[in-house]
Amino acid sequence: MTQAELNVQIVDWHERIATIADTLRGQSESNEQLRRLSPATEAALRGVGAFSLCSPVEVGGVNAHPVLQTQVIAEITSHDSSAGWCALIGAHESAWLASRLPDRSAERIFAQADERWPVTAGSIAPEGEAEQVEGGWLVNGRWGWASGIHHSDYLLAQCRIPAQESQPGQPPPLLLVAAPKSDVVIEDTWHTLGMRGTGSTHYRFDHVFVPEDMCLAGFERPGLRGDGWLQRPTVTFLTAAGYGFPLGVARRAVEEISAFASAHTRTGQRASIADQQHFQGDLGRCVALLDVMEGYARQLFQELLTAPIRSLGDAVQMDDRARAGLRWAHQTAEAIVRTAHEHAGGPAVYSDSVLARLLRDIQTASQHVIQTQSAYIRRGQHQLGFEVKPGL
Amino acid sequence: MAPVMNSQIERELADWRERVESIAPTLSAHSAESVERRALAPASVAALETIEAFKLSGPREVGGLDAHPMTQLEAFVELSRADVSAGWCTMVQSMVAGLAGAHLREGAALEAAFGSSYPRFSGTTNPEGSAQPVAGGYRLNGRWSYASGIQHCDWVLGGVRLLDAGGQARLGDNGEPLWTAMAIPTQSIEIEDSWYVTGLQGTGSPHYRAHDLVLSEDHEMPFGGSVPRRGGAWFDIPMTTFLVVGVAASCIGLAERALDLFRAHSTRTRFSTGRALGQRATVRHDFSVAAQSVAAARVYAGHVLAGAWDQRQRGLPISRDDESRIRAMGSWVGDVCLDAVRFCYRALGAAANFSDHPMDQLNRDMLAASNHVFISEINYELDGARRLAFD
Repeated sequence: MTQAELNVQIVDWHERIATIADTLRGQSESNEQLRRLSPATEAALRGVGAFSLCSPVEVGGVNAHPVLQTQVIAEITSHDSSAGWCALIGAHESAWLASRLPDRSAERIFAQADERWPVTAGSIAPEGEAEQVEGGWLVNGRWGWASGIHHSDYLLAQCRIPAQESQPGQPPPLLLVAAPKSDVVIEDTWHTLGMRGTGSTHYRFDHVFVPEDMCLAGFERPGLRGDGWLQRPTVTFLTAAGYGFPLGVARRAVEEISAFASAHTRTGQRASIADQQHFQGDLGRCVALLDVMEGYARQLFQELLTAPIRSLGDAVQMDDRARAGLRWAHQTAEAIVRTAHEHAGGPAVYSDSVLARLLRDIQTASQHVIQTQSAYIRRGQHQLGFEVKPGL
Repeated sequence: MAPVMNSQIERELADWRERVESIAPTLSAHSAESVERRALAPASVAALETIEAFKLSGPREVGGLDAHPMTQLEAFVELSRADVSAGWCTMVQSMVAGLAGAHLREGAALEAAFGSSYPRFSGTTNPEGSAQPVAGGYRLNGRWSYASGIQHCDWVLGGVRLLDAGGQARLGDNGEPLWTAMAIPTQSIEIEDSWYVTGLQGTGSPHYRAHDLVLSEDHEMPFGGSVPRRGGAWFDIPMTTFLVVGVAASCIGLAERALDLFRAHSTRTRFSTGRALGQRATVRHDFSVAAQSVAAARVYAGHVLAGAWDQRQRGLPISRDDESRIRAMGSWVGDVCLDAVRFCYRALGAAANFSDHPMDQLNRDMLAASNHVFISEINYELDGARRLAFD
């Protein structure tokens, strides 16, 4: 894809998302109250095709360029962070369903995708167990962090297989399965500091029978369909759209504090926040950081899309580079939001303040396992020439 | 030169450590209840009364204890460490009552507030209301915010702009609007249900309003430049200096509670690493930095306040330079504590995301506390200007 073609797609998606911007912003408080996306938010995201962003073209997906993935999620997030997060999680997990199911079930499930995209949610942490039975598997387990489960159609679940022993030197055998949402039990556990509107609650498989053709190709091997970004290592694949989340949060924080500062004067001050030189300097630093975030995303994901992978070591190094970039983006976004929140003063204490919500959201999202401190540690180990094993 | 602690103050400090220790289990046990109620739990209020916590910052002439600022700091720190909501409400109430006790003129209002028993005071001096002279006093209108603990208080302060009989703003000699504060019986105001916040929910700090409320003149409490009518030398200082003690102390107590809690969770293993938190070198390093920083902040705050107290004992005023320095100290303490709590929350990982995790609550409380105007970043600008010899 040429740069000109990519730019055309970015503009196209920008215009598409602009048509739902008012809906997304108008539904933010409703999402918070519901602790899940409101029906109007879900409809808006489905309407622009957000959940198909990362899926293979073969089943009707977009398989977007990674730079486009970042931009799409950033734009949605800037209107509402819960919507942005659910869009990115739904797009990723749908992509796994679309690229890793066997042909027969993929064709069946995605046959009507242009009418209703089969949005997927769930966890790939090995928290459950699978027992082989005739025609498939019996699955039991409880998983957390199922963002978007309420508006999803399918759930993923990663399972250990107790009946199979590990090969020496190999990780324990795992089985990744999918099931219709109607087969699982959804718990009401999502009471959190931030990301409240994402409905990322726990779910259970209680003796759920999963037919053989609903078992996905494991992450130790490439997906069965899709090229380009879909063929990058698993963690790397997650980071392009993932980067859009902190980028969108940072954009909104700068937008909010810029508007707020002119209209508000802090207690004891004679001039508005905007007239305070200290604020002007801090805002300038935030805008510069935002520029760097934007530029780094474009360069990083363009490079990762085309970088050769000749060995497992190359793949591990690429994953750790992508993770470190994602951690940096979250930390930078948090610094921007924290600055904006601090300058807003007392009004930002209230729950319905947009800046309060952004700070809650970025802090909560930053706890995600993919962007922990180990991302930097592993990047440092690569830099020092250490041997770094696959993992997080 | 470092201020010297005399034995009387050391005894006072030791006495207050014992007092707080005696009720700390009660405060901790009712912490979640306060958050749930969005107001301090009755059992916590009762416990604070038993140790006379609300009297800490008040003048002796009206029943207060006029404690040394180091004692106030340490008591508020330990109360916050036991329960952030209780510590916060205590420092607000104690200090607002102290202001009222020091500045209310002799009269029926003073007698009503302090005559029979020591009152529970809350409210704000921000001039968000107006006072218009009428026969026998003032007519008050206004809507104020951040009245921590108001649900269990008998009185509130309300900052007002002074109007003339025609309803126009009265101006001072410098052309600026004149403002003052009024002591208002809580039963005569409307308390709104507006305290829906990210953190400090348990402090119950909602809006309150007065509508055409007529109060006698002796409810007026001139302050901010006026000499207090009661109290020792510590009351004759800028209001911000008087109050910054409490906010800084609350932040320190909150951060120390977070460090305590992190220590208790340090054997937890994160899914991604398979190792206990406390076994990881980076966590050990960052925990040490956080703990050292908070400890340094506590010592520094005490040093600055004790120095200011010594200054007043020698008859020297708290200059504008001193005031700026003390306010900036409050901001710095707040920043240090915010960083420490942020580390504790983040390093605990995703488990801390859930609202029933105590670290989640501490992180929320710290976010809210850090936006208090007394410890805002503006203080650095003021201090920097003074240090650079600009007015």
